[in-house]
Amino acid sequence: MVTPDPKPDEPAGTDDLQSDPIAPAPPRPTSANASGLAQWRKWVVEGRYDEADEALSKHLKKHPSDVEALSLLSTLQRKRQDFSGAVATSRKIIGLGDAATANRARFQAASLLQDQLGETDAAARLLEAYVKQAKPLKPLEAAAMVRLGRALKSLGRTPEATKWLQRVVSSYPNTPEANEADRLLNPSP
Amino acid sequence: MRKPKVLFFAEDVTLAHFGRMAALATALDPTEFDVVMACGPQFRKLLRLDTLRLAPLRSTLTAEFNRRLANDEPVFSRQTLERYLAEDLALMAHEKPDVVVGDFRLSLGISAELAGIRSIAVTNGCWSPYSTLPFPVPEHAVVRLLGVPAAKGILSLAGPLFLKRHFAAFNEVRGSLGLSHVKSLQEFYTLADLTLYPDSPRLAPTRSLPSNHRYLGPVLWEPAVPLPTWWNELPGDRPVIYVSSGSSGETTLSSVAMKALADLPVTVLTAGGASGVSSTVPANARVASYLPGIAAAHRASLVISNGGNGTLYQALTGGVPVLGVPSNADQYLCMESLVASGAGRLIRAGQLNEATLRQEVTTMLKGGFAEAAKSHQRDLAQLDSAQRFTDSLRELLAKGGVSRRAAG
Repeated sequence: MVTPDPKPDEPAGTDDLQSDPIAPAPPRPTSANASGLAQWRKWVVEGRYDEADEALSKHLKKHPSDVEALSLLSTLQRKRQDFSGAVATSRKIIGLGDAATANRARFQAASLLQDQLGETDAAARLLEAYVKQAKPLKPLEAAAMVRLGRALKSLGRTPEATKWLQRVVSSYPNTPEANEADRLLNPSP
Repeated sequence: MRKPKVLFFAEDVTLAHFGRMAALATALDPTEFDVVMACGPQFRKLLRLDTLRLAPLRSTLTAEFNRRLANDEPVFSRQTLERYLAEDLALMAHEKPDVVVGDFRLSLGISAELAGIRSIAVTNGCWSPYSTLPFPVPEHAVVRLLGVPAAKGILSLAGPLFLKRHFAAFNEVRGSLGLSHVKSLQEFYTLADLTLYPDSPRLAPTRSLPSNHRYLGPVLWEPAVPLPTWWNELPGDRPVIYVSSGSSGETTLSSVAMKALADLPVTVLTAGGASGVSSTVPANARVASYLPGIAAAHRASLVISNGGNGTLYQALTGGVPVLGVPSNADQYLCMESLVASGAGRLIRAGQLNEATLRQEVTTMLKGGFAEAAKSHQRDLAQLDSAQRFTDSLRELLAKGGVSRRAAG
């Protein structure tokens, strides 16, 4: 069973790590309005954010567990630079989506927390949960490990940061991620 | 107050994509914007980039790009896109830009969305999802096998499937990351918060354009190379013809043109690109690896090129008509529109020979093509792409304000 991510005040990676990431996902609420979603997505692509926002909000009031609509809302919020809103929406997706969807939402939320909102501690918790999932559920594994290393380093958890960054260097040699990990391990004076 | 940071991705599959990014990056006021340009080494030495801070970027090289086009393979495989995505995300995490700008860096359609960073795509207007131009029949295995009319029939039926192959890998990667699929090749090429066309509405017409798709006007650039020693010694009593095959054009174009025009009372200027020109140079021709393209085009009475956007606008801003020898779809789209306007003619790359080229040049030097080209010149003079780019960038930034840069 997939469980929601820990609350910010809970110890990092407790319940999330105990879950079985490849267990059958709970029944996924299907979108109540496929043609509506296509239209709202078109509005987002065309920059018609107000219209998309209004339609999605109305839809999600009736169908608060529609993961596809929540994903689109999260995209819209990122595009509008409403990063806190996008993180909150991603957290809902983590709680509602299947294992793969939830893990992607973890990466997206962690990126925003780390880069845009400066909430390194919360980002680190999500990234720890992300990298501990089964391999198929983390298409951005190396990127996530670099992010985690950077976050832990800035939190003063240097030995753990070093461990993750060294793992990137050894497991993903000659990649942009390994270069970045190397830069973080050996900062130029 | 902190300046907004703009990170350009200069994809060096062709010099044109690279050159446009360099032109727009250098056009921004450094007192207003913090500008970084990520680029590969291939074309760096050809352009004046000393005012920019550069970051390294690996991209698909021109030879590989041309090989894939010639073999009808999608330009970007899933593997390439995933490598680009990793590099984009690493660069964005390191630089923390407020806006990213790409020109055929198609992975930005995934990475910017994932990172929550606003993105601008600079794409030829003929690839707009709202374009009204008919899709052409490019040089293709089916054309070589069955000829143009039969290929046209087959491609009109199988076209959607044929095009779908080119963005299948992009959708696979988007799907693996929980992002929705794009619906068409045109959407693949233009996916961004803001899409800017380095074109004139007359040559790349569209309809029902949404507010986040706009025309910039031509983005002109030229290699930062000195004028050749023979520049001031060209005969003044005969028309000059500038031949440029570009970095993605028919590589034999310069050689064929020189031979075809050797007996005509014209002077031929040729830029053969990095690969150079292998044939003997006739008495009426002057050759350089690279020429300052704007100066060369504006000096000419006729430009012969692969028909791509770059040389086409170099010519038209000087009121000079173009004889295009297109091979890929992009070049056909540009040229067919120009031909319809009366300012150009085209020879299919697969049908290029000396006799046809000589005949077309003779026709174009006689006819009213220059008048049609001058009409474009007047239109283009109204479009200041540097100003439009700056205005669009300011507007995009104002929509959300400059984002906070976090240290973690």
